[in-house]
Amino acid sequence: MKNKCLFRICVTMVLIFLYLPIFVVIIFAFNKIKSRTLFTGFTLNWFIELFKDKVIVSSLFNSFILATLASIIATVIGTLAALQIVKMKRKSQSVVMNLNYIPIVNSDVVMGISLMLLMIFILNVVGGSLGFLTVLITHITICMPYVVLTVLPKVRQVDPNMLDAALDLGCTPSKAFIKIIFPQITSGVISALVMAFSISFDDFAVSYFTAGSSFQTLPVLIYSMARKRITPKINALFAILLVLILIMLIFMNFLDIRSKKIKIKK
Amino acid sequence: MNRFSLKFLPYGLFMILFTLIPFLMIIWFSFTNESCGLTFENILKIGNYWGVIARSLAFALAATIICLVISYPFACFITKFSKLTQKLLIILIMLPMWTNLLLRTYAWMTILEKNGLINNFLKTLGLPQLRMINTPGAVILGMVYDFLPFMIIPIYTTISKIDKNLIEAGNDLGANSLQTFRRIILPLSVPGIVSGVSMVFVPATSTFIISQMLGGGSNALVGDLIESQFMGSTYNPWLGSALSFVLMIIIALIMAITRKFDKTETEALLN
Amino acid sequence: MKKLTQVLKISFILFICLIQPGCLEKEYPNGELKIFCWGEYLSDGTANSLNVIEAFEKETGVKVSVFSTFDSNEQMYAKLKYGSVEYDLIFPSEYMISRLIDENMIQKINIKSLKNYSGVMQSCKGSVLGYDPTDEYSVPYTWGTVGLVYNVPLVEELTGQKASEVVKGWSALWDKRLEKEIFMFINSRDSFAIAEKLLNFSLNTTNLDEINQAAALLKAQKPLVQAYIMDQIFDKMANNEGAITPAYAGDILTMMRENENLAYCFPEEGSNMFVDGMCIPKNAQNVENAHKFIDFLCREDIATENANFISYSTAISGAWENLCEEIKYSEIAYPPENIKQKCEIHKYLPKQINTHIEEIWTQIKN
Repeated sequence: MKNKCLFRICVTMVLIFLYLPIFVVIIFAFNKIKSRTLFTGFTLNWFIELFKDKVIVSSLFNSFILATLASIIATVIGTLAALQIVKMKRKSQSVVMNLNYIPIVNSDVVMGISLMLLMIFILNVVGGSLGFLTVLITHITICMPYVVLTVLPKVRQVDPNMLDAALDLGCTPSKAFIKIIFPQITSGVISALVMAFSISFDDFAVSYFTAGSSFQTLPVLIYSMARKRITPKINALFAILLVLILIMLIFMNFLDIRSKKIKIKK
Repeated sequence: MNRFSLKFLPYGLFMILFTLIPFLMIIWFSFTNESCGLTFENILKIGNYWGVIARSLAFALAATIICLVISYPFACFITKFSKLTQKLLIILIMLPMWTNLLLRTYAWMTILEKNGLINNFLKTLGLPQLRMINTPGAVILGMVYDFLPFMIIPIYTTISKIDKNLIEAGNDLGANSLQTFRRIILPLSVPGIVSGVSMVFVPATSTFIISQMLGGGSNALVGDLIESQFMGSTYNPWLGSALSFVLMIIIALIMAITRKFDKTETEALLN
Repeated sequence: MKKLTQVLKISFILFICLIQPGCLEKEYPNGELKIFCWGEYLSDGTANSLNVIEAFEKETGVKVSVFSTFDSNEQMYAKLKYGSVEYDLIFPSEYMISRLIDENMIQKINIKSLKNYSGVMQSCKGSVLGYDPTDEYSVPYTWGTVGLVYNVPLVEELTGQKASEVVKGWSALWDKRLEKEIFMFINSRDSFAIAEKLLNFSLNTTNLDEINQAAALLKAQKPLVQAYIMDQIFDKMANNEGAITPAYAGDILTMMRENENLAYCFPEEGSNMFVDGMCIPKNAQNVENAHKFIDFLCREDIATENANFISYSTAISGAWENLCEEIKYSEIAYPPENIKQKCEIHKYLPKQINTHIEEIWTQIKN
């Protein structure tokens, strides 16, 4: 019993450490004045102001669209690749997997600047400027490896005999894919999609280097504000997003538990 | 067969065009100068900045050790709770990772400042004030804060997967709790520790902005130095590339070392 | 597979909408404008001020489609230099204007088309100060001097002396009693200017010996400095986080409004005066709209709004008349002639000197 008490204290301490800054951010979303240190009174004003602020709303919209597109494309490409990777010979598999690790292991800054160098080089040849398209491409690039890593284990679990059986029984290859393979890897694909979305939505370093002038994402906006002072509107936005994420995480876990239950029942 | 390689094509193209080529471009830039001539000037210039590189490694090492010291007991303790509480705790630990890192780091400023939360708290208790913001300690704290979940989760995963029967068997054979820990839990959790260490140490070495926000402009890390070569006042992409090249080598070395400890995991992934 | 093609279709439509923002908003018939500006440098509508950008959009029918901010001239330069960002209007300081002219990165402004140009103060123009000899490349927006702000109670507590006696000039930034309570500029140019003024050199010196002396002085200062910062200085000084800092005049006024403990000192050794202008980059696509915006900012009422909001000294003579009293008669924003005489403006230094200063500055700070 004494031990349990000690565990509780220890766990609470770590959670306080993790949540103290979040608590600070949220508290100041309700602050009457613009200060980031002095709390003078309660107001909901910043939540209203937030939606009037064109710059914040448009960069939120930008981030959302970008993350949606990047995660969908990355998931499609990554899943297709994963389906193929399992069929490769061991040697080429290890080459691909090692290459796949580069964007994951490499630091954000280096990924950002190397892609920026490439994009500028390409744009100097083709013409045009850094913008939505360049960020989209770089985001797909950084998300794809995670998709492959998440989907691959699921693909490996698929029994190849089942596909053969379906084909033998007269199924077309695409129908066989939809009926046989896809249902077995769905959970992997969904978690890859969510992961890719969050990577893209929160990415700062890579967008910072490749976004240029015409396309500003939320993290880049926050960075440029942080150099001076962050308005409480951003704190308000943070609070809203946090609640949404919490709901989503709980929902996902709920789904997870349910699907596991179903599996067990079967 | 044709059909299958079509599946792989977009991925392969992306990897070659946007991962491999940029990678080679960094190397190319490291050894050239403004007029595209080959030179070792950039690499030699790095000598001026070895202090910054050493600082990055030292800070990252400190942050990793602190993370490990916090995470290991923490991960052990979590496993003692009921399954539902465990799930909830893991969600709570992952939640901050989903939110904006810049904003959270920025909030630390409010906490650590001279007239910040902690000092105000100390003041009300009548204790002496501490100088925390704009010190190396603040930067390390920022790192620990940002990367702690990356250490907790792999360790927790390995520990929670340890077969309870093993521990029971140990107990039945007369091992006390310390022995069980040393002989069973610790050895079996090594893979988690290794992957946690690499997941903290690698990004911590190459992090940027944390030190810009909490370090007071005089605790720059390699990441900040590289950023300033491309986006800042010292515009010099050639030197910036050379620094990135060095950083990549360092990361590769770290990965090679951790992989040595952790061969089994990659093997498992390939099978 | 069907679902997949559907998803692709939807994303394609979304994509088209994105690259053609025009398909969503039709209220701006006269094209767009991309602005690259200092942070908090235009009146933005908070605290009952005028939102200058919205007013401009309403009046001209031009959409300000991009508004990004920078916090140092060098950062802006680096972004422009790549050539892969496109802006129509930028706000560089005087020495950067010279550099941009020199490197052929900005284009001539059609001064004659600006109706409100006559209001621009003679004393801020490039031809008078020398940064833009023909006045063709830039239109001044604001100007100011660099001075010292200090926290009176804190300085007195630390030194046991009257604050105004401790802080007389730049040497106060080297006062050992203020250890770890000093803030310093993060950019090389401003920091070296302080050291050079203290050593009684020109802040445009190209003499390597003088530069190295200044560097040695800055190195000696490092243990005393709490942080090298730029824009965060507002917050820091307003919250009593430090005892003394150099700052730009406009920022000093803002800080003093927020914290009554702060006082101002014009350094006896002399200081730096700066002018921030408006320029149009070579690769600008909406040149005409950039002219409209420049003209708009030169208009007296708009210039007044901006000057009241940002507290920087306006370069439009008519705007000064209508400023709020507090700023209008402030010696910080509009110093008397004898103080202006003691100020020097930055000139564009030769490239090797510049690189040299940048490199030693990075090493000093770290």
